[in-house]
Amino acid sequence: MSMFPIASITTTTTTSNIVFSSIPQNFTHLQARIWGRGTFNNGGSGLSIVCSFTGYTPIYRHRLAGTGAIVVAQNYSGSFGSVGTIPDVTANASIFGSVIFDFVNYSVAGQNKTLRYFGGFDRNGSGEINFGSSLATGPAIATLDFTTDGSWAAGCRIDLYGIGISNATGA
Amino acid sequence: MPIIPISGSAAARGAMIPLGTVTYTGPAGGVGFNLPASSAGYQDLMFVATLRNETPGAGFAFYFNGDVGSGNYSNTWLLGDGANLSSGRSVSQNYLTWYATPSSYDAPNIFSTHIFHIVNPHPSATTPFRTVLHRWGNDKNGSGTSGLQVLSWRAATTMSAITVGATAGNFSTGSVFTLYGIRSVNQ
Repeated sequence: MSMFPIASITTTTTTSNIVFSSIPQNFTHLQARIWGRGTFNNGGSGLSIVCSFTGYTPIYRHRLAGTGAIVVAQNYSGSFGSVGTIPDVTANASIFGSVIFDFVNYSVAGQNKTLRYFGGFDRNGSGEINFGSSLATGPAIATLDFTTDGSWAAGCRIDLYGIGISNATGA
Repeated sequence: MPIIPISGSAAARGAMIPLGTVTYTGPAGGVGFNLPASSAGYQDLMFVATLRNETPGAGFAFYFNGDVGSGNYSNTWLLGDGANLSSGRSVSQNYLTWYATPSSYDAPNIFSTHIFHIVNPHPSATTPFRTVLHRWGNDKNGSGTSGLQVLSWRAATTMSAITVGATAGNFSTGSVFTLYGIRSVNQ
């Protein structure tokens, strides 16, 4: 199994959508590694990252989270992505969240798409660690459009990787 | 404490490149990986450790750049122990300490595994803090823990070294520490 870089996007200004298009279909698995924060004021709580792709129907998100005080298990219908993994605008401007998304069967037509995520942020007295999954129906994923509550702040970055089963081709 | 030279080759194919590894052939106290300037050529770093402590109740300390007295570390964690879930945090710490490691109190040959994702260790814009994701697990056939943790290092400086040390005594024979670099496009 090998991992190959596909594309990288860094925001230089406040940005509503981070979009990857023409995603190659010759991998078995996609991974997005995210460094981000949002512009929305959520009272210090984490911001979600929502994904969309052409022809999809978002079904559900599930979340298991630790807030530093309590454990949270939640679900949300009608959306595809994560829950509460990057800091909001009230965080120190130097604090970004780290999040890893795995789209395991992204290129398989006719299968529901399952996303797994792991991410969080820490503000030296508050913060969240989140783990969860999300389900959508739809065709193979050829585009990915990432949004968050409000917009992405300047300085956010998403690196997209393909993970394959062959060292030689990445296929 | 051994300091591991970086051995990864830029010619190696793929995004994930092994940069250095050490396997303990005898008990020892810790390991440090010095990051050369070329490590800026990796968008992310991943640090993998398989650990066992010689001293019951001991754990490990994880820190960057030898920064162990500034109170620059904090973390939030989520833990399951087979019966209960819990969450907590530590603030203004001198380094990350964690104790979910087997020791000589436990059956032989039981180790815990730890994976640290150091996303964007060399940010180019402004001087953001570092946010590290850690997941771990150990199972002792009747007890054990697994969990997730997010660590913040509030130092706006170039990351130059990663160190893991035992909080007391030594790590056991068979402990393994490996550092990987993850290249993005054009790296």
